[in-house]
Amino acid sequence: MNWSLVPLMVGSIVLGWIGLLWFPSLLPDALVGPVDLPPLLNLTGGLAFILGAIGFLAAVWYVLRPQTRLEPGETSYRADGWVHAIAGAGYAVSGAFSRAQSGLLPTYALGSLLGVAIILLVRVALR
Amino acid sequence: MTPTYWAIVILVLGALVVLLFVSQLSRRPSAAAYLGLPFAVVAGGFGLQVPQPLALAIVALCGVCVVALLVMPVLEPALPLQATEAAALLLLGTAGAIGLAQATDLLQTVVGLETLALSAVTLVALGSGERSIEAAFKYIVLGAISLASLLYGLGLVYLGSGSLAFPTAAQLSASPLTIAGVVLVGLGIAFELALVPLHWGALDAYTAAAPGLAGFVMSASKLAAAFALGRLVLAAGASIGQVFIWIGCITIIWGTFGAIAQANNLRRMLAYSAITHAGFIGLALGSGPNGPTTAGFYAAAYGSMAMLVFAGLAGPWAVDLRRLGAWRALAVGLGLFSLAGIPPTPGFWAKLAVLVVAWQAAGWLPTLIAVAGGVFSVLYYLRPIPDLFAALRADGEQRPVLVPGVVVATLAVVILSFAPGVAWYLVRGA
Repeated sequence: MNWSLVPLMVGSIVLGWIGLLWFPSLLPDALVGPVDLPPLLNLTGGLAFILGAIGFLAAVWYVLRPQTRLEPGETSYRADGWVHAIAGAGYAVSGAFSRAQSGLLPTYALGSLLGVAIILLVRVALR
Repeated sequence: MTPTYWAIVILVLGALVVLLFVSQLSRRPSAAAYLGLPFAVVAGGFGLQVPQPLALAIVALCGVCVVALLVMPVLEPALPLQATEAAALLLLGTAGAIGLAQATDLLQTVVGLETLALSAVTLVALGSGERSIEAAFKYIVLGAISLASLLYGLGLVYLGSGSLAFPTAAQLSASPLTIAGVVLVGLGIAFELALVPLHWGALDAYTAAAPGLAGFVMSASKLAAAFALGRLVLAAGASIGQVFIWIGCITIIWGTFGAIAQANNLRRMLAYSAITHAGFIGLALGSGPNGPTTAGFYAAAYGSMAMLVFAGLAGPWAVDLRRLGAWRALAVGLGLFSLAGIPPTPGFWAKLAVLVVAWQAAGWLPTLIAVAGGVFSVLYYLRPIPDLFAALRADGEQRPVLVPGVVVATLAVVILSFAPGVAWYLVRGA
């Protein structure tokens, strides 16, 4: 759990609910037409920066406290078991995708031809 | 003669001039690069006189060529005797890319695509060692397969429509031959974009080529293919656009998972991430009438970011990021943050634009896939940051001199961060 991001999370949820009262009137075309670029400095961005800064400054203070000094090689973040499980599954899938790129030209050629054939057949069949 | 053709002629002339001095310049990469540089700059100037959206294509392609030429002096260990040929191929490849981007019929598409593809393959082969030659061989064989698809599709389009122009939606609905032909043509051009299932050779080629040249091959091919496919999709309509939406989504998934697995190989990670970015471009292409211009903007933004990272990595010290030196580490870090789509970098504006058009035209599932791809990209792009921090703090190490290519690429990324409207104006007008 990355506690330094909690103020930003709480602030975004609270302000998001409050903002539902008046936000839609400010963004009538957000999902319809081109979005105008926001100004470089704006209130919303400033609030987000302050919330994030509060969290990170709190984390810096917490880590630098004398009683929490870490031994060399020790990390301050220890993942829970379910986090490890999800990460392991993700890395297993990504490893499988990576191994598909075997470096063998016949595999590449077959994959290309099969892919083209499948796309062509599906598109023509759905005409 | 239109400004577009003047740009192509000047680039080809530049390549010929550089080749005239092969024997004198073969051991002087700086001289070869600076001899070709004015031609790229002048060609880019002609791009400003071209109507949108082609203006962005020409300016961005010439910009990529300029940065690649400026990086060449530090590539000497990788290009011991072929600096002049590399400079000529950069100019010729840019000319081919412009030819592909401006193509208004299928024959022009073939000529432009092959000029770009052959230049790119030779640039890949010019890297040092056997890996680059092997990668170039695979790239050209797989390129031949995609060319066969393109030419076969061209024939079917001609049979179905009686013309070699980009077929319209009405012609597609009239004949299944034309539909099959357009799909094959699109897939043939998609090889340059490195969309799944035609990405195989591109991955190995991007990994094995010398850094500055790899950046050029990745950026120029995506820029040219994005604009060419945009014209094809605008002519053919939603029936072909849907194909690119789903191919784009599959490509994003493939590239993201592949990049996550590259824990210790930065070049391989960047190659897989290039596939992911191709997926974003493919998704944008199919996303309604605003999609092709968004795809062009995305490709231009990607070109600036990729050239920044590869310009920073160019040179013999790139094997260990901790020896990059402070300025190069900052440049590579900025490039990686931008590729990850962290605001206010060009990568953020580009991804935002794709998400908007995808939400409007493609629906919630492709948009969700694109969002997930963008979020997970942070995982692999920020992995090298600790080594870059170490480079900032390194004392007593030899610090490489900052090359002009890094400066130019950094300026491009900074300008697009705070004024992305410049690129939007070139692709969309006022």
